[in-house]
Amino acid sequence: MTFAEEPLLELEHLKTQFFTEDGVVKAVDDVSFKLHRGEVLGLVGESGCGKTITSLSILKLVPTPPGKIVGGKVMFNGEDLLELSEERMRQIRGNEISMIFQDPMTSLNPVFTVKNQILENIKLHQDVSEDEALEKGIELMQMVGIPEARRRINDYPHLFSGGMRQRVMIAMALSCNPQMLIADEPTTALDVTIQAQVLDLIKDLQEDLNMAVLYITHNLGVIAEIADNVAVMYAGNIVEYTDVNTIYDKPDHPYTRALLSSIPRMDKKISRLGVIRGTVPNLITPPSGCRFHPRCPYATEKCSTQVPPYVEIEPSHFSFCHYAATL
Amino acid sequence: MSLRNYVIRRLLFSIPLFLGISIILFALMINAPADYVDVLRLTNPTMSPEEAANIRHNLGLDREPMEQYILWLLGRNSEVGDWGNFFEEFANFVIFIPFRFIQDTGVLDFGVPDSNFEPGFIFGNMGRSFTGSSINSIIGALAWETIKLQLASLLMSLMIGIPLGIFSARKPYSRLDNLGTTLALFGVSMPVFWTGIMFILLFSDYKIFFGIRFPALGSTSYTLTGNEGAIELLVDELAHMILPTIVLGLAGTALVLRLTRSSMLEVLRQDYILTARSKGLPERLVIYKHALRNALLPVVTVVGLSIGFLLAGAALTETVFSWPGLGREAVARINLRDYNFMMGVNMLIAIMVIVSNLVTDITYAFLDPRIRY
Amino acid sequence: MANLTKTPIISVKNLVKLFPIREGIIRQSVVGNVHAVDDITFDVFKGETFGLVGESGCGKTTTGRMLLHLLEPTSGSVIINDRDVTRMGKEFVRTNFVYSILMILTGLAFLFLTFLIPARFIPGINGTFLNSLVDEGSVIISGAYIFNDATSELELISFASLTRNWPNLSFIVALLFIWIFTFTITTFIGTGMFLASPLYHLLNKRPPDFPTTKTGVIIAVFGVLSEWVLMFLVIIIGGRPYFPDIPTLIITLLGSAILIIGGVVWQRIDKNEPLDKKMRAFRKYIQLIFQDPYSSLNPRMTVYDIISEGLDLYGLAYNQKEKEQKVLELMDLVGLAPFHIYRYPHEFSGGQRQRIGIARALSVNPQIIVADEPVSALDVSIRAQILNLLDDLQNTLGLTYIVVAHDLSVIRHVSDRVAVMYVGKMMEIADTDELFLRPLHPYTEALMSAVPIPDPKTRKERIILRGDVPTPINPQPGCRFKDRCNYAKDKCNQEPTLDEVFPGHQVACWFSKEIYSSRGEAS
Repeated sequence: MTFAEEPLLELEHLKTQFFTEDGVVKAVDDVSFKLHRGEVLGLVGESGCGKTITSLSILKLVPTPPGKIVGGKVMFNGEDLLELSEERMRQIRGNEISMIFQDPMTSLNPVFTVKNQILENIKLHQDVSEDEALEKGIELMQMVGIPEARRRINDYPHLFSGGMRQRVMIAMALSCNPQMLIADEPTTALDVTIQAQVLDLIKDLQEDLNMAVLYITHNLGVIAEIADNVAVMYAGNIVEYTDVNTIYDKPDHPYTRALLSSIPRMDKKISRLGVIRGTVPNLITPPSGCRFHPRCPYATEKCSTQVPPYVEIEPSHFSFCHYAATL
Repeated sequence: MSLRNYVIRRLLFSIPLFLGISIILFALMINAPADYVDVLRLTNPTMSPEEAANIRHNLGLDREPMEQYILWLLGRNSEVGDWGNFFEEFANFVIFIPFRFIQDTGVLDFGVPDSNFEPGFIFGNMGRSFTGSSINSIIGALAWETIKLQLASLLMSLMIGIPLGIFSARKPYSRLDNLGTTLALFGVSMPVFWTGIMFILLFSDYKIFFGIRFPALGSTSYTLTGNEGAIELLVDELAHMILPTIVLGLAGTALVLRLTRSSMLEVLRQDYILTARSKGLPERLVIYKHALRNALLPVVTVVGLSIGFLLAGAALTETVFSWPGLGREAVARINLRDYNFMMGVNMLIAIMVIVSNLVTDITYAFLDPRIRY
Repeated sequence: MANLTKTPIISVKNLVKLFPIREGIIRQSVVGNVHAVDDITFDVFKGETFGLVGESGCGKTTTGRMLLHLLEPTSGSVIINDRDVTRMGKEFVRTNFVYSILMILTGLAFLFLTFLIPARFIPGINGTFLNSLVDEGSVIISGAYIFNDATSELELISFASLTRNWPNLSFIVALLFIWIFTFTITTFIGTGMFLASPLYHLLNKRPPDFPTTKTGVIIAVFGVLSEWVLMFLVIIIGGRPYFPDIPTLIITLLGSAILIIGGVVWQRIDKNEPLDKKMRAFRKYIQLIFQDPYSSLNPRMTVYDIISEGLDLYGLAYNQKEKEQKVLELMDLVGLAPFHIYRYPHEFSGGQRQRIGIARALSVNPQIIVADEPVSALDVSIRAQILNLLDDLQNTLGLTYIVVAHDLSVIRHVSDRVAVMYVGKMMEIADTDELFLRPLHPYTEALMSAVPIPDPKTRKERIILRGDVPTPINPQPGCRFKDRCNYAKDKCNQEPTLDEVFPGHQVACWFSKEIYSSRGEAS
């Protein structure tokens, strides 16, 4: 899929660090990518690779202290979000960029009704009366497929099932027709059949509203279903970026390849899974050079001393490896 | 289970609890070394054994403990010491309760027979103190002084503790937070009698606060003539409350501060706070709408439970400030070995603890919609 | 895995687990049941990996727990190696309950009779009668002659009036404390005591096959002694010149015995995990690997402590050196380095902790391992390590696995046979390849189509199920899946049976054959 127009969001060399007692955690280190209108970008990685921190950095919601965005740019519609005032940021959050989270059980405030929480967002960003806001809220709940929306809008979150709560979250996020949605593992805590429902819903709404979606997950199956382009993150870096077909057909970076060979498949029998040796590195003292080199089967002397370049193997297929396209 | 059923269940189950508490209290009192008459003999060494035995007999102290307990619980008849017609009089009293009630309200005259039966604890009558006055009326007269002081200090601890706690949680480990937590530690660790005496010394004796002498004795001035207007009386009353309220409220403030701080810190880490921020809500709303109500849940529990113990904690402060309340009275009565009065006050404390527990539970159900009983 | 001997090692028949919901003001009656596991039947063969798959709340975890006896089944049976282990703890608890209620009532009655009723409240016993007894010099009534201040006379007041100031209440209070104390110690320490009680065997009408434990005797002696010491302490501290006469001594001694037995029995009531020899032998046979490697290991224990605990419990190591040797062997087996031995769980990553958990389970040489979501809390790259490790262990040790998981990809990878569960019911059981090739139950079909495949070319038309998983509280009769099923017809209001449609392929659906043949026509 090609997106001719200017990117909606462009991250340039974003760096976010956490200043803890044990040392500086370099959670996001030099991350750049582009996201266009109507595009779904999948951000894949294991826990602790910095994918959630990247998304929080875009909205400037990194908990400060100890976290701090120490460098780079977040260009959204031609403005650098990092330069904006807190007040302007508040107008963007929930209005132009919305976010949904992993655990629908904890991401809604348990002591307020769903109505209160959805209407809060509408009234905050739009100049509407209480009644209009309520109608809009009910309409949103119907849109995300909650039965009996008019009655259920008065319920408290704990009365909804996990899947329904995630729908409520989506309704809330979409209440101001955002240009971009950040979805942080929105289906991880859900059952498979419910996950299918929610994925379907996100995909439909994204197409209807022509939204840009930054979809964060660790599940390679979900990415294959929903994403147009994929960025693979490892230890704070984006190690590979390309479109969704290439990543599964011709993965280039050793980490992407290893990751793909290590997952059990439902559609075919694999006699033995591939294994990435070792564990995810500690980001206070990350490995020198390429951060993947201690676990990489192809690592050489060069990998442990020099930071690899971003190599554009093919048009818009980047690999963060010294030996890109040669392995 | 619905909330109503839960409350009924709790109330029903508290009946055996009260009985158990009263038995244990009674057993402890009756077995304490020396009794009321022994104390009297200390002040009046010339009292003869016959006189002593006579007083014991009149107060019913020479009975079997079981008998004494039953008399306290159910009531005593006119002829103290005679079991012969006790049950008859008891039944008589119980049967005529509704008739007497209707008759007293003046609707109908049933010609209810006069009874010398004095109802016991189960009828809400704490009985008579050893000095002869009705315990119910003593408590009625003194309770307000105690409640006034306790409520004021509770209000103080909430109004200072919660805002400071929120502030501390928003800027953890900042200078103000460190100052607040240090002061809180001080407030929790200093005994009330020490701070009380220090406050009297500093604010009443040395007048360090702009040379103003804060009243430190009693709940009103001794110099009142009776001709003062309502406003003057009120000012006098409030002025007397200042020092004891602050002294009593210090520990509570410290507790509320620490609780609010830790629970606020916990809540601010929750996902729904991130959700609220990602909506673009101003920080003010995030804190005071989304975080505060969740953060106050544990505070409500602790404060609610502590209301039950207010009476129990009043004794020291009231003694230090010569406050004419229940706590000071209770201390005086303990020294007199006035067991009936002590039973009354202790049962009152027990009732307050149980009721405040129940009220806390109910409040909790309203604050947190997830709670179902 | 290759050569499966088709002998069932575990045979589950009509297993049911209901969690009652109670309501009411005073007497809480059962108003409904959560049908967590509702009448499931399956066999697990020796040396295979049996996968149990389903969404949350389908009862797969409950089933796993029941196999291990961590939960007591409501009805049905679990036969492991031809031994019915279902009622292992149940009867024990129930007989104990009746027995202990009796004992406690006796104890209470004793306490009441001895200490609470003054002599004069008993009809016919009045002052005159007592005095006449005193005059006759009779010592039948247990009481004490005491000196009365007021009358300067010796007087007999009541059965248990001991000293001047109405001390029987003090005695009651003291005894209450003693009683509570006895209860506490027996509850917390005396686990094996009751097993020694001949009364239990009498009641059970069968020869005692439980060993008499030394602890039981020690606790009994300690209990009686403590009661007596406390009683005399009360008397001595109270400064009361009293020494009980012989009848009182006998009554108190009897009372203590009853109280102690009552106390010991009491602690059996709410423990549905009896630690008798059979149970231990059973636990040695079947072990559990937990889902969460973070909370399933005690943070205060080192790796050595965690792994060697099982060795100690079952006496599998004869000395310290051998124990250490075995622990090191186990650590090597699961891929932990020897220098990890004295570290604490928090020093390890999730994958390594799961390895510790596996080593712990293997320490007692089990034949069966129940793995409850063994990899779902782990990172993608670590999952493969653990799954491969489980595979290797099965090959070298010949283990039988029961893997409980919600992830169909994991289940497909590890299992030889798969059972699909839905709201407490078994929907389909088949060999893995057969099931994934030819799912016959509409639910299995929908479940499989819902799983995202990590290959964008196979983006397919999914069967999106309507609505949510129904509640397992008092479910409607008939097929549990009928409200969400695309094929549902009237007949689905009758409960389908789990029938063998193809060899080794069981399905609980009325229309599985029709669905299968119609699908065949379509494709």
